[in-house]
Amino acid sequence: MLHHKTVVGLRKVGLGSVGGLGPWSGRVSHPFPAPTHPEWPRTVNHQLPSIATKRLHQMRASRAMAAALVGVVALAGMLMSSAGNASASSCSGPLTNGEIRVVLVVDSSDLGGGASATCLVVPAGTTGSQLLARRGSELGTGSPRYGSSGLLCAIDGRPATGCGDKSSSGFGYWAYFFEAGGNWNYGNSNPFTKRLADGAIEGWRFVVGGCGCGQDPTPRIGPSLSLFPALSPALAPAPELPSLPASGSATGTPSGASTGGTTASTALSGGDVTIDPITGATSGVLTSATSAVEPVVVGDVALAASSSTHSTAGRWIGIAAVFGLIAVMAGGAWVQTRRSR
Amino acid sequence: MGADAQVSMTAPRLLHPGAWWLWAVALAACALRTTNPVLLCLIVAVAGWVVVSRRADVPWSRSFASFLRLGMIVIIVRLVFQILFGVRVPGTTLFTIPEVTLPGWAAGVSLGGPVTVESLMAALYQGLRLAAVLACFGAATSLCSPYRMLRALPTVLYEAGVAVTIAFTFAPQAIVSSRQVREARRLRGRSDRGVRAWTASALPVLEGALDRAVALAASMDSRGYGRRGSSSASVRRRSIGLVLLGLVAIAVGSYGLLDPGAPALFRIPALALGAVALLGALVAGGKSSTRTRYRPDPWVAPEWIVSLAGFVAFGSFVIVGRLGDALSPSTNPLEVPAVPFVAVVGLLVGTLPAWFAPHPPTLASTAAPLVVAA
Repeated sequence: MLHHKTVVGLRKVGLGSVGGLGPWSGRVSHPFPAPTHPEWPRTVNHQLPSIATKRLHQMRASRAMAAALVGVVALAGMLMSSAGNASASSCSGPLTNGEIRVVLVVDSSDLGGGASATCLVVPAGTTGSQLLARRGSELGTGSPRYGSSGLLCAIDGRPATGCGDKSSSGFGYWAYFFEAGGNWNYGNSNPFTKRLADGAIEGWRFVVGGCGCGQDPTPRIGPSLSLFPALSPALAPAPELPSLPASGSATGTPSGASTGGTTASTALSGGDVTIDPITGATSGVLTSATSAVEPVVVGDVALAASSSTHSTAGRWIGIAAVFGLIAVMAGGAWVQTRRSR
Repeated sequence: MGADAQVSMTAPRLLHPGAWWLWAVALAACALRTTNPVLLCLIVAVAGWVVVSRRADVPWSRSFASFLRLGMIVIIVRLVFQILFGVRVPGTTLFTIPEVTLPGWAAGVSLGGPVTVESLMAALYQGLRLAAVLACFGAATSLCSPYRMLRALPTVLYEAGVAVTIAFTFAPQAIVSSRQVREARRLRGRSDRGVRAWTASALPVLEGALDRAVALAASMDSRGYGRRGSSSASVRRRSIGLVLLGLVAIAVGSYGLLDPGAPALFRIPALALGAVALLGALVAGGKSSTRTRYRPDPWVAPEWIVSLAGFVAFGSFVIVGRLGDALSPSTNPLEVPAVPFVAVVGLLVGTLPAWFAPHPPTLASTAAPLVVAA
C-alpha cells in the first residue's frame, strides 16, 4: 500500500522496513530466486512471473528514483514503527510490503498455562524479543519480563517471580527454539538481536529442571507450517518453483522476505536483501483470501498480566531524602577533612 | 582479647582491628545483597563518614580515597564493556554501534549492536555494587593497621602465615608505596598527575608493595610467626591437616551458600565442618605451644558496638530481602528504585561507630604505638 519497492540493508535496519541506502542497482545480479525450500506451501508459485517482470522493471529504474523511494520508505517505516502497531495487518489477509508472517509458539504448560501458537504479522527485521512483546500486546497478556542481565524471566506473567532459577534438578527457564527443517532447534541466539525471516516459527517453552542445553524438551506444539492460517483456498499449487528458506539463508542473512507464504524473494549474497515490489500483485490476490482465525491460539493463554502499580512520586521522595542524607554526610566529611588538615 | 577493666571508654586508642573488619565485612555483605543504587550510594556514604570521623593519621588511612577512585574505574569499565561486548538486552535503544555478526559457534557473545537504557542501567547498578564493596574494604584498610590485624588473627591461621600476611598487607602497602613513588617523582621535578605519570609509576608501586609484603612476611617468619614451637611432628601434621580441611570446607560451604542449586550437603554442613576442623586445629595447636602476646588489644564495649552496628545493618538487609524485591530493582522494565525504610535505618545504625568508637591517638599522644610488630 505504502511503498512499491524497497532495498533493505538488513544490518542497518531498525524496526520495520526502514531502508538503508544500499548499493542497490549494482547488487541485483541474481535476478532469479534461491532454490526451493521443500516445505514451503505450494501457494507460492503462481506469483513468480509477476515477480520476474517487476524485477526487470526495477532493474531499469534509475538510481535516483530508487534512492528517493528508499527515503520515502524509510520515513514511512519510521512513522509506522513509531506509531506502534498501527499497521496490524491480519495474518491471513493482505500484507503491505515490508511485512512478514511469523508464528510464535509459547508453551507454559509446566507453569499451569497452556501451549499456544500465535500467527503475527510484523515488520521485516523484527527481532525475537519484539515479536514476544507484540504477541503480549495483541493477546493482552502483558509484556514479557526480563532480568537485569537480559535473561527472559516471564512470558504472560509466568512465572510470577524468579528468573531462570536453579534448583537441585536443574534450571527452570524459558528455552528458546526456532524451526529448521520442520523440527525445533534449540536457539543459541539472543532474541534481542535475532531478526526474523518471513515464515519463521519461533518457540518458547518453560523448562523445569532443564540443563540449559540442547537436550531440553521442546514446545509441545510442533513447528508445522500448518500453524499459519490458510491464505487463499483458491490458489492452485504449481511444481518446481523456488522460494525462500524457512529461516536464515545461506549467506547468514535473515532473509527479509515480504508477504507471508505468498511470495518469494531472493537473498542476495552481498548481505542485502531485496524486497520485491509485489505489493500490488499480492494484495490483489489476497483480498480474496479468507481465513477466520486471527490470531490462532491453541490452548489457553494466561491473561494474567503482571500488574505493577507503584506510586512513583513516593519513590522519588524517598530517593531525594536518602540523597539529601548522603549530601549532608559528604558535606560533613569534607568539613572534617578540612579541619584536620 | 578478653575484657580489660582498665580500658577507658573515651580515651584515644586504636579500636580492635577485628571490630573494624567485622563492621566493614557486614557492610560489604549488605552491598553484595543489593543492586539498589540508592542503598549502594548510602553504603559508600556511611563507610566514608565513619572513615573520616575515626581514621588515624597514618599512611594507609588515606587509602579510602584510592578505593573510591578504583570504584569509579570499575563502574566505567563495566559500562564500556556493556556497550561493546555486553549481552544485548531489549528495551529503549539509546544508540546503536556497529555490530559484528559472529558465527554460530560463538553464540552468546555479541560484539556491538543496539545499546539500550536498560542494559546501561543494569551495568551501572552492578558496577556500583562492586564499587560499594571496594569502598567497604577501603574503609577497613584505612581504619585499622594491617599489622595489628595480623596479630589479632586466630592462631590457627598462622599456618598460612606468609600468604595471610601478603593478603592483608598488600593493599595498604601499595597505597604507601604509591605515595612514596609520587613524592619521589615530584622531588625530581616530574609531574605526578595524569595518565603518563600513572603508567610510569604503576610498576614501581606494585613491585614495591609486593617487596614490602614479602619482607614483612619474612621478618615475621624469622621472629616465629607461624611456628609451632616444640610440638611433635605428628601433632603438627595433624593440625596442618585440620587447618587445610577446615579452610577447604569453609570455601566449599561459602560457594554452596551463594549457589542455590548446590546440594544441601555443600552448604551449612560444609561450613559447620570447616568451623569444627579449624576449632580442632586450634585446640591441637594450643595444647602443644604456648604463645604470649605483647599488649593485647582489648575487646570491650566500643568493639561490641562497632561490630554489632555492622550486624544490625546486615540484618536489616536480610529482612528487606525477605519482605520484597526492593533490594534488586528491576531494570527491565526500568523502574524507579524503591527506598526500603528498614534498610536505610539499618545503614544509619551502621554509622554509629563514627560516634561510639574511640578516637584514634594522634601522633603527639603516646597512648599506644601505631605499629606494633607481632
